[in-house]
Amino acid sequence: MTETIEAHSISFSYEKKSPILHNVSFSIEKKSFVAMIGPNGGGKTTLLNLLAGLEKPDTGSISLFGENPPLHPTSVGYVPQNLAVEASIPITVTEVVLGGLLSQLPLWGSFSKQHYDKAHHFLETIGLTNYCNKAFQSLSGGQKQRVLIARALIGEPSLLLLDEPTAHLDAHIEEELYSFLVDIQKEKKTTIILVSHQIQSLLSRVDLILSVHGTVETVAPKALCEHFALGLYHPPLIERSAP
Amino acid sequence: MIEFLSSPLFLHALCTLALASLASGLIGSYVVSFDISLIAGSISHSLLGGIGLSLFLTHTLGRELFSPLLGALITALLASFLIASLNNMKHKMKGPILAAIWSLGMSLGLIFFSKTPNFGIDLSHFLAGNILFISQEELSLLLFLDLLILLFVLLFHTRFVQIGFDLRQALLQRLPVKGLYFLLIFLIALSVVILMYAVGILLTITMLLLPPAIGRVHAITMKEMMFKTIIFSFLLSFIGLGIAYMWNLPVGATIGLTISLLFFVCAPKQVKG
Repeated sequence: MTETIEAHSISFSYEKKSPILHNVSFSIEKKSFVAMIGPNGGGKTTLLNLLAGLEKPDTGSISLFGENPPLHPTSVGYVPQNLAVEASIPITVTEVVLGGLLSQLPLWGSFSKQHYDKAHHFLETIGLTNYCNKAFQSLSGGQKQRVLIARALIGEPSLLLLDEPTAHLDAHIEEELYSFLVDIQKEKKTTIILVSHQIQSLLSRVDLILSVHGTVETVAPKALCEHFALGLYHPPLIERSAP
Repeated sequence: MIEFLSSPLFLHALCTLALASLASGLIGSYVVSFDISLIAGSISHSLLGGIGLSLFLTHTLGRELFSPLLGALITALLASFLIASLNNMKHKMKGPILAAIWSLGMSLGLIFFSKTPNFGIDLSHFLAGNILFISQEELSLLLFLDLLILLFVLLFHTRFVQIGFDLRQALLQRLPVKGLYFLLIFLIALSVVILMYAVGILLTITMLLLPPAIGRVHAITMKEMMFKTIIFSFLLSFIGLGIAYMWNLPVGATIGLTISLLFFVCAPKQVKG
């Protein structure tokens, strides 16, 4: 079984318009922590969708540890921006976390005690044990994001995808979240791919950076540090990665 | 008063209100939480087409080919099929298509009614509703529709809630999202038929949207919201029925007025929350 995530010459466009991603190829080692950066509209979320199996490339292929996406529902965890969920629906924190086990929900039944125990265990992991029966909408932005991470982790996935999980969060909560993800990566041997605009606080923690701007360039964190030192963040990467 | 309370007329009305409140609580809660009220409005107004056709054919042929209730039901199912074929709740042409279904059913209904002798009485009966004249057969069919709704909600509630909360996660978990969306639209169609008999086509939306909006205040789960809505809906419509009887007012309109007034009392909380 291949121990990498491989993308070979993938291109993707919405409704036959100009391609969002063009001739993209990269390789990611298993169990690594990867940051995805790039300008708005550059194709970061599209690339996450392709890796999650929510979209299919027009051309080229993706291999996730030797398999074609989508992986089994419990093998991939997805954390959206917390504004992407419908917070006006009355739903408890436990119910949200159980959303990560929907594929195990029996057709004519409800979640079992084991499922609930597992949800409570993951809520304990993220430090929200006392919030099990609270309304999701009553939580703070940081707490909501942690609940969505617990939902992504409950299936114990081999691949965790996070789409700007720290957007709208304070700097200290962001720090806390990144430390938590590093622990997850080490303890659970999970491959993590995270989209972020705030790369500074991630640099010391990630193994690889994907710069996405129509195409994808892989950058070592150290190389990006040099760009920061010169005050050249983004433009050099964008120029170099232009098709 | 006591004579009225013990009459079969009142009991039928009470049963209809109970059935309508159940539909309002179960399905209205989804409609309000998922913000798909335009879909419910479109289906409810299109019903007039099927009812008008039923009455027109009955008067023209001299015999009943199908009842107005069946006409309403068939139209509701046709409308729900059309809407569900839009595939998702955020289709870019959703608004105009829903408006087209709304006006097509309403216009056809009005044309059929205009070609039917004594159409004025029948038209006001269906537009404003009159639960005091509901028959035993109609009540039985409404009970059957309610049981069908209850069964599907019991079976698929968790999935409906998760799809409404985060469609992307539902797709990742490989839920049959399109099928469940179709089922939800189908259940909305059944609900509007039941509510039409309680308060009439014009006030169906009142009963489908306002009690759930009141029930949502402070509700932590959808189940709690549904339970509160059923209680509010029944109590308010019962009060409306009582006021209508005491002051000799149209029942549907008085129920609609009672519910609307309480909604405005609770509205500041809703806007804030």
